[in-house]
Amino acid sequence: MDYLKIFKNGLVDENPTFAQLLGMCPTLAVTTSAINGMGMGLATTTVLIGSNLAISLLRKVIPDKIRIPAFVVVIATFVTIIDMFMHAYAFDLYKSLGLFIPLIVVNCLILGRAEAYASKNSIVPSIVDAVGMGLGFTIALTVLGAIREILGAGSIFGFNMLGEAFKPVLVMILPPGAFLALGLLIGLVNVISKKKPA
Amino acid sequence: MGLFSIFMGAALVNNYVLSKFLGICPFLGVSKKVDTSLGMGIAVTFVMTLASIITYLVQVAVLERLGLQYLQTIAFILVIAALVQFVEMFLKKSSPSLYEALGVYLPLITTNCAVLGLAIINIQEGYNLLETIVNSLGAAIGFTVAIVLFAGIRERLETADVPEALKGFPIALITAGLMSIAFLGFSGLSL
Amino acid sequence: MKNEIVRLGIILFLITAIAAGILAVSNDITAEIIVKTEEEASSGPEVAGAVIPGAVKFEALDAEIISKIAAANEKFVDAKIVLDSAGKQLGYAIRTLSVVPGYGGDMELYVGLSMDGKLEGIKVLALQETPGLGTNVEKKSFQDQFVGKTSDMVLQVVKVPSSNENEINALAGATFSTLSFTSAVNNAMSIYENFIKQGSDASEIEAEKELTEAEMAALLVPNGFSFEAVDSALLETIKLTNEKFINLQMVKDEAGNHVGYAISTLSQSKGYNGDMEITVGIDLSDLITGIMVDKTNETPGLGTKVGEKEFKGQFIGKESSNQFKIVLNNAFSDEEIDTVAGATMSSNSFTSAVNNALSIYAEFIKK
Repeated sequence: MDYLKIFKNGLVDENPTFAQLLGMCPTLAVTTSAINGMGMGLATTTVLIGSNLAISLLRKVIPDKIRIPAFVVVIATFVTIIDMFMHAYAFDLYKSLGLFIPLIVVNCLILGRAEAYASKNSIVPSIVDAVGMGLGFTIALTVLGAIREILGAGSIFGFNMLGEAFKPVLVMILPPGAFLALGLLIGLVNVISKKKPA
Repeated sequence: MGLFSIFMGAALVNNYVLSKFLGICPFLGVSKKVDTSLGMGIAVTFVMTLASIITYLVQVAVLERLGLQYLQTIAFILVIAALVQFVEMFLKKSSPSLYEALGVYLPLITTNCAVLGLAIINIQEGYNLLETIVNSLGAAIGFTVAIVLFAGIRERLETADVPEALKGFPIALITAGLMSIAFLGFSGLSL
Repeated sequence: MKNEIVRLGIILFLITAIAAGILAVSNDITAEIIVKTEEEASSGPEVAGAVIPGAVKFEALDAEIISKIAAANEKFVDAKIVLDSAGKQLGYAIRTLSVVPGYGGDMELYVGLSMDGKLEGIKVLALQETPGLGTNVEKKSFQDQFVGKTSDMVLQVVKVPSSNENEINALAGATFSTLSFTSAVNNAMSIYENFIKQGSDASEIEAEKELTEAEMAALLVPNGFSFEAVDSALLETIKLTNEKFINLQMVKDEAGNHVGYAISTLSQSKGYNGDMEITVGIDLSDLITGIMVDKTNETPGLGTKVGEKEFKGQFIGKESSNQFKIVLNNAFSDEEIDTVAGATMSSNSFTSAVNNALSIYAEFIKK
């Protein structure tokens, strides 16, 4: 089994954010800083790994007709667990991500992978797929968060990079900035991927 | 907080799509044509309002009474999934054309973060039942307004001269960004 | 077909039940830790040090005081004593919401006051303002404006550079946030003034009652030393025409010279908890020179503020020919008196008593 291929697929070829355009809500909402983007990405990855694992394990047991509600229950369980543990152990991040932690349950990425991969493949490939996709998502969110943070607040991961004289472009960390930054980023990715030899 | 300001707040000042980032997937996915967008907006309004009422009742009558607040995510998402199923069956019988037009986007209302997000926000803000309904209507109408406006712009963009790399999603996102800036103006509305 | 549905239903139910079970376990594991984390975030050593430099922990304040404050002030959240590592009391921390909402609603602040009522520090606990604009209330440079203010001040927000001690510079582009933040600080300070500070007005009014005759006379009319009864026939006449009248006396100085009058009366309109009994001192040039509250049942910390210098001082020095009127903000003419915030009934009642004393003076005594 070519695990590397599965992993690379999630990271690059079918990158959830740049290629599949899944999980847009948290992508736009929480990327006000690099650390928030990374935190959300990692939380989502954890849920993704858990749910892919569980659904792959149960794939022969869950009847086809109720598979969507069943998947949703499994995903919701992992989301709630992550929510509780972040509340207990990562309070600052929990407060920053707020509403979007429970909203991981409706991130089409997770349901999408459950439906498209985990329910049809065995455990180890499913886990690798989850790691690849999750990491691809995390990197995308971190990059977007970093761009918005540098332009909008002059810092990255909280470290002031550009000094006092830099007047931040405040709109970048406000909602419009999210749309603009992501739009331009995807445009950029399109340009790069068209230039690469097929 | 006055009911009117709750409504206006949800619809304009804190527009669920352009300000709170809820409901982005359908916002970007369905908004290619104005009439589909309007249909989607109506369906979402219906689901959001009903879902808010039911989840509110579930929260108050079941979760809080039994101290099971941690089951909120599971309970709410199941309510929403079931509700969408019913709406689907209802639409199939009563308005087949709309059902066809919405296609795969109808079941996707389940994963519309605006519906779940709204349900959670109603509880977090401590609204009573009437305030919940008003907030939900405001949010849903705000969503519909945003998506219809956006569709109108995108229909025009189809015939515009857009650079190759920006065609499709990138230009759509940039447009949404400009709309979002426009809606920022509403925050001057002091209610 | 039916069996199929039942079977599917049962499987889904099972999955959900197992999920709920797993979550119950997870909840058990984390619930206590969550409570602790929330506690830490609002009352750990970091917070203590932020509200009063050098402090490390909080201690509960008297539960009775807390419930009194909670009953009188709806934006109040909590108040604690602040201690250093040796356990010494450094001051108090008052946790309150804003009185006026900011851009995104109320803020929640912890305000630290030293043992002598000076503001030492502020910690923002909750805030929903615009990032980069309203959130700048969290910046030290903004909050430093408040450090050192005393609890008897009522802080005003100004847009031009501040000139008075009680003025706070608004944040550029975040006036609402500044107003909201300042309203919370003001609320905390007034709570401290009225309920926590040693010798707050409840005890002040008590102290007035235990004054000697000489002290009372002096409070009512300058140089006053003793009281002397007036003609009993006059007293009778007044009593017949004015049912709120209690007593009228002459005020004399130490040498026996007549320096003024003291008129005791009930209020004409009821306060929050009934009539008040006051005594008004008027000198020989028909000016009001002093007022004493003899009896009141008003709400401590609110209605009782009418007995404080800040309120009753508005009457002192004015002509006795006035009939005063309570206004809700910015008294302009001589006849207008600023109400005590949140105690309009008490203010009106007090004023009606003063007016009664003044009309008795005008009708029966003034030449």
